Amino acid sequence: MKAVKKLVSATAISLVLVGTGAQAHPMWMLPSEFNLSTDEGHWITVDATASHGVFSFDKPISLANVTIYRPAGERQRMGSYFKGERRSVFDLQLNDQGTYKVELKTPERYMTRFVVGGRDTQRRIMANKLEAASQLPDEAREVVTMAMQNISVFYVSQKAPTRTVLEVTGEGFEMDAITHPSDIVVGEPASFRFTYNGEPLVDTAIEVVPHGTAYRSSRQQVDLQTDSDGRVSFVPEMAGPHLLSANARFMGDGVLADEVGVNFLFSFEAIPQ
Amino acid sequence: MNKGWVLGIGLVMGLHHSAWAQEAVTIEVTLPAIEGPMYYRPYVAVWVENDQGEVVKNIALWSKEPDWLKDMRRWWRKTGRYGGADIDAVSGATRRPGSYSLSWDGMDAQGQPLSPGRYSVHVEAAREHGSRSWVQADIELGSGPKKYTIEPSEELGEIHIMTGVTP
Repeated sequence: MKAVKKLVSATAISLVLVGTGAQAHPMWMLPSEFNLSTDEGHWITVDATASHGVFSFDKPISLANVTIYRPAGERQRMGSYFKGERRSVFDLQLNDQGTYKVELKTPERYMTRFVVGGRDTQRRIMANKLEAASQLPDEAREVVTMAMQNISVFYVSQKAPTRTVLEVTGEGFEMDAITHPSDIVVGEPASFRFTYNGEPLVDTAIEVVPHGTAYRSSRQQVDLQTDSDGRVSFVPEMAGPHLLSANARFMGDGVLADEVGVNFLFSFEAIPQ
Repeated sequence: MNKGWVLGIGLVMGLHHSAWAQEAVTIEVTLPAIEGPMYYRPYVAVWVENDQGEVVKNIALWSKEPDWLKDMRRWWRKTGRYGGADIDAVSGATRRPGSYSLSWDGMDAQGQPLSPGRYSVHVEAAREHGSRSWVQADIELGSGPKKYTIEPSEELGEIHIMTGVTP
């Protein structure tokens, strides 16, 4: 299997992104429970915010891009929701046994950047490669189109965990949960595999941070890098919620975008032994 | 499937294991008296794992509402969430502080005698407004009478396990 091509100069791309202001904040979701033993339809509540902190509130977000998948894979509507000044909140009722997937996925946004004039003035337009072709000035140089997407996900299991919602489709950026999210245990290795259009994302930086950074000196961040198969493996040391994040930058298909940037966040709980 | 055939297999296995299958295990669990206005009886689970950490037998479950079963974190993850029939068979109401003697015939959840070897006995207790305690002891099955003691923890008193008990 051929690996997804990594950008030669990731730093250059990041620098460009900082200036865009487009979806600069990672968006995380944190449910009230990740595992339940209830018999009947039980409600859980979820915090959602755009923030650079680990489970700290900063800005509310639109919940329009949140999709709830029931254990058999059908979609479900959310219950009550609220958008405050610092966070958004929504409730969801779990009527089925098994594992639910809750995903916040923004549509891919395209940005084409270029330089013009004798002073290399930087410009950008929100357009994919095809749209940009007719919009670019004739003298545009160093034209690069980037596709950007935010994905945030968590899983919640009622009684025995199931795997239907974990199945990968081979489309876009995906996390293949080799370890079921309800089986992440302190002191035991957990493994995840990352792909783009089904092909492994190689040498992608992944970080994992346990909750509560505000109340300890060390961030206790674990830095990982995907192997040639797109995998990472780690052993949680602390029980409780964790945030796994990937800021993946790689080559696009060359038709709509030259580069792809995905900001991925996965909230999970490490269960005590 | 042919009933006679199944019975035949059962008999062969029974004979094969008869030398040690009669060794039962006694587990004495003590729930300490804890003072305070917010005392509610703990949820308690007792079970046995093999040397791979797989649950082979549930021995006791004292609980009230299913919502809080998950608070016995290890028990819930290892066996509770799968809702096996052997759990129903050993379920009962929560108990007040005191000592309780549980006896286990050495059979697994399917009613088959376990092979001799190393196993572990686990006791987990979780209490509302209280703590969660999980303790365990490795035991040898099929090697005669032996005594094991587990030190007291926040929610559990001293636990005594005796293997090789003649029923």
